[in-house]
Amino acid sequence: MPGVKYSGRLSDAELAAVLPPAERLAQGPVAVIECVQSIPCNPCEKACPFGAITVGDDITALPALDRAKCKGCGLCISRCPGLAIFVVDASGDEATIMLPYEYLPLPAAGDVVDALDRSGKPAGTARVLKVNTAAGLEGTAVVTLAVPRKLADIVRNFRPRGRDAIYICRCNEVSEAEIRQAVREGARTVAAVKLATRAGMGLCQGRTCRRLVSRIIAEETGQHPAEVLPATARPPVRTLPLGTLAGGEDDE
Amino acid sequence: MTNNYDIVIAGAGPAGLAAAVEAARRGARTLVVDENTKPGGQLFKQIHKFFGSHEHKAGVRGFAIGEKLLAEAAELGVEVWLNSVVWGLFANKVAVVRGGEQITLAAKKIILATGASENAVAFPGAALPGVMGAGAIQTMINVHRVLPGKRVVMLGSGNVGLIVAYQLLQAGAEVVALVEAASAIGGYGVHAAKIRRAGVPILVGTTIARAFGRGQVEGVVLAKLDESFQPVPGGETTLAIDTVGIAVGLTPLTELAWMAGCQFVFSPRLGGHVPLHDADMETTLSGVYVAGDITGVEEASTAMEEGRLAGIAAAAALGYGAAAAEADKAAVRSRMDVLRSGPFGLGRRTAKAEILAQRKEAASCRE
Amino acid sequence: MNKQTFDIAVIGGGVIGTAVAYYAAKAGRSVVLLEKDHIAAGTSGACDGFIIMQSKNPGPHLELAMESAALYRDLVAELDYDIEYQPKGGMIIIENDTQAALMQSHVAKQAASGLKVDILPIDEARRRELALAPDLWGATYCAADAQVNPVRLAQGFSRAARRHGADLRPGTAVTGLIADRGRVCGVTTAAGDIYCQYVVAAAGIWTPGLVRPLGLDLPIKPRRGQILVTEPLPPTIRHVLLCACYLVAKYRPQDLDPIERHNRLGVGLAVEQTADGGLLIGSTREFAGFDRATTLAGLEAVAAHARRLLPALASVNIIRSFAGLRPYTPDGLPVIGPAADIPGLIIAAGHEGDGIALSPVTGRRIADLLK
Ligand SMILES: Cc1cc2nc3c(=O)[nH]c(=O)nc-3n(C[C@H](O)[C@H](O)[C@H](O)COP(=O)(O)OP(=O)(O)OC[C@H]3O[C@@H](n4cnc5c(N)ncnc54)[C@H](O)[C@@H]3O)c2cc1C
Ligand SMILES: Cc1cc2nc3c(=O)[nH]c(=O)nc-3n(C[C@H](O)[C@H](O)[C@H](O)COP(=O)(O)OP(=O)(O)OC[C@H]3O[C@@H](n4cnc5c(N)ncnc54)[C@H](O)[C@@H]3O)c2cc1C
Ligand code: SF4
Ligand code: SF4
Repeated sequence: MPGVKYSGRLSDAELAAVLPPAERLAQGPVAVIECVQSIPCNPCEKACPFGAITVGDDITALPALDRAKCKGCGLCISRCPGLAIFVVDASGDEATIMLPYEYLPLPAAGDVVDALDRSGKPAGTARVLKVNTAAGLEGTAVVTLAVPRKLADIVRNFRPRGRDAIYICRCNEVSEAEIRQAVREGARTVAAVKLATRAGMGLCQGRTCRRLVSRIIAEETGQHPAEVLPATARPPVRTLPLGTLAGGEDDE
Repeated sequence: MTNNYDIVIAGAGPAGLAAAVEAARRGARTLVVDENTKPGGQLFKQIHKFFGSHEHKAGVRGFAIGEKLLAEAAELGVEVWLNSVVWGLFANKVAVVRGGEQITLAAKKIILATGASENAVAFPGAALPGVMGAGAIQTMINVHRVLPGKRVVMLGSGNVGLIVAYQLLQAGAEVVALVEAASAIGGYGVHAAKIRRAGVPILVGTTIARAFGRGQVEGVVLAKLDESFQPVPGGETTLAIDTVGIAVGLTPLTELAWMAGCQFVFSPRLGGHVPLHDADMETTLSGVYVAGDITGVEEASTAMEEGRLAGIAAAAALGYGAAAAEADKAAVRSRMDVLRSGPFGLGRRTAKAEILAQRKEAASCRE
Repeated sequence: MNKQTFDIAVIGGGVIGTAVAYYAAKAGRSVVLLEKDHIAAGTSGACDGFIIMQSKNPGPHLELAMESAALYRDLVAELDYDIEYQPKGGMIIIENDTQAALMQSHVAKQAASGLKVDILPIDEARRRELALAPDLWGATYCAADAQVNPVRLAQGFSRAARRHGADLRPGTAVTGLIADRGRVCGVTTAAGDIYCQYVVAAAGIWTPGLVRPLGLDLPIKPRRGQILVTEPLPPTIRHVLLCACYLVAKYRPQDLDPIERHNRLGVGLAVEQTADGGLLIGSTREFAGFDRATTLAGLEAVAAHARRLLPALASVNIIRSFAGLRPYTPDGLPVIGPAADIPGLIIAAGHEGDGIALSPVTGRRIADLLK
């Protein structure tokens, strides 16, 4: 028997009730709330800053999405404990899908991954556009995928492939490609690359990557390596606990 | 709590310890601070016999040099704080964390002897567990007595790569190959010969194109390079290994000198940006000295001599042993010239001479 | 060099300059943005990212902030760039009765201005923010407070501005303003003169230096804030956190002992957890000229205050420190609008500790002004 109750996959009928009409999809990003059973749950209602989602006083009611109000911001995605909310944008040549992702390792922007459908079957290839791991997401990353437009209603998960990226900053997982991109977009100093990509902002404070970063900048910009100065050195040069620092009584 | 010292030295490697010995010998109240549990810096990992002249304890194994220096320092009343980190320099104040406590030291002179850190490389898979710096491998095998793996490929044929490959063999690992991108071996021929005769192929003009494995490195793909360091089509070989050693040079650990506001100069031969210093090892900031690998990556022998120079000069500037200081420094400098000779040393000597010349120029500009 | 002409030349690539460039370009004006270093090289790259409503004094300040907050909600969608906007709510920590009294009257005035702020006793405050010390008085809570990544905000504005046709020129310092019969009509740079109808000076603490040659004396001066950065942590701090002594220092400095290190350095707590998990723990408020160094006394004082209010953080590792220079003004309000008696020159500077929060409204108002 089809349906989420028997196979975990929404039936065509169930889907029909939640998928946005083609006109709305073409207008820009919109949430798709694939929550079709009356369970006692309503965080999505509060999550939406635009009041687009209503569950109402009976918290077992299904969430109702006002698609006219929905801006597709995706703030509701990580709040849904059922991981039932996606934001789909089929207004361009390529569709984008924002989805919740709670596996490690996380992909990085630029990765090419296998796109999966609602039953976990490969549906094609997707490109990771964005990985949002903000602290407020409480451990649920929101990943934005680019997929062929015809897969907009199909893709709901993905599987990373063996990665081929060259990592320069290990602490913050910044790839060589990202650094070159940042330099091409105008970051011509180690400090600027750091701001643009976070390379060197991690735990080791750039001890591992700064030389590689300098070399890439020199290569990309044609500057002499002597001109590529390290980012400003700031205390502490090794980590120290806050409580230890708090004990100091220097006063000048 | 504020502690007053004549001289505070950051780093208890050969440079820092030698500086402390000379300063204390002349009567200066001296403290050495090092982040490790053992003093000696790079030395305490070195189980091989060192080169250099007899005076530089040649033929003695690295860690033993460190122990001797330490014994000398202890005898002269040098204080050594281990497990202690200099985390910041604020004018003449040295901020140290020791035993979970933040301690501010007031120092009349500061000697920075923080050494150098290992360079990283970037190739796909370089972040996989099992790909590690040669220094980390040395600490595992020589200090903790554990093997990082059974089958190792080493990248880099400078002395560090050659020595660590050899020490891996001694420790019982198989070194499947040592690869070097340049067309010739970088380090001393004698070190290379040691591993060659143990059957380790040394592949020059070759690099690691990628490492692969699930959760842990399982193999590498080597690529042959042409003269312009571009991969030769079809020149790929795959090796099954479980460890990759990276020994592609060191970069002076200079943050404290940057933070203090020292002027820098770029010297590719010495490993990058290094603090400008004069013939007494004093930087462009009065009272802040540097010695050892922080001034440019060299060897333990030169590091010790630079440390001595800094120790003598800093003490003399405070009036300790001032009368004999010029003669003492001259003796050190002539020993240093001997060390910096021959095809390997001359390049460094020229690079060092340039630094001194630039320092003079900087000084005359300010006047 | 050929003559370059634009409707608007914006000086400064911080959050303010990039916001102006964005809204003006979006409104169809031709815009060039000149930045001497790179985007967010100044104060906007060395600050916190609080979009905080409840710290603002009711009146024009709070109105500006609330208008800005509304714009933020649209920006999240408009900019098409992850600015790490997090509507997580904010708390102001209250240590004692004296502070509580100040906060109560503050909150009452805010309620009258339409901002809902709750005062929570310590037990309730700790239920919502676990790291708070048990011996505090309590905290305020305001759901309208949010957080953003200031660097990504400036980058998001500048990318979006470029999409709307703005010409962004990092690495280009403005060396002077060109005036013709008293009207400002362009700027000089090493790469040539640029002519325009309006010059918007959005150079933060450097703005007074830019306009002084025209005889305009802006009372903006740098006020340093030192911040500690921790290692990345699992979710630890849920809200943006300030403390009431920050507000006491801001609104009732006469209540403080001026000799004590804490007060002399103007320490007030400001803690946020960034998207990559690290905490930013600030900060001081000191006048130290243009010096962006961190000091031992400053870092220690910030750490000591944080440990007192959030003892759970004592074991957290500090990996870096930095300092930024707030563009301070004596009346605490930014200078936004046409310069008196100098046609063609618009000022958008002096946002002190609120530039991140107020950048959208500043950009929007300047763009409206120049329509
Ligand atoms: C594998 C290998 C083999 C070598 N073989 C030889 C050889 O045969 N002959 C030879 O002459 N040389 C050899 N060397 C080189 C030699 O070890 C170095 O040149 C020498 O150790 C440099 O001395 P140093 O005192 O400048 O620095 P280091 O020995 O690196 O000591 C610096 C010390 O300062 C500490 N430190 C740094 N920052 C701080 C801080 N902020 N607070 C507290 N402590 C800090 C470091 O942890 C370290 O302990 C070899 C090096 C390696 C890696
Ligand atoms: C420690 C600290 C914490 C803070 N926390 C917050 C907070 O939580 N929330 C909040 O809202 N605000 C906060 N602020 C305040 C906020 O950071 C500032 O108000 C804001 O960044 C100011 O932005 P700006 O664009 O005016 O200035 P800047 O970011 O300084 O931009 C000015 C730009 O002009 C450029 N420039 C200067 N001269 C020239 C020239 N001649 N030619 C070309 N370009 C030039 C500079 O390079 C610089 O990039 C904080 C500030 C500090 C210091
Ligand atoms: S995507 Fe944004 S606007 Fe749409 S429902 Fe979710 S939270 Fe609301
Ligand atoms: S939060 Fe998710 S599971 Fe709960 S009601 Fe909303 S959509 Fe359904």
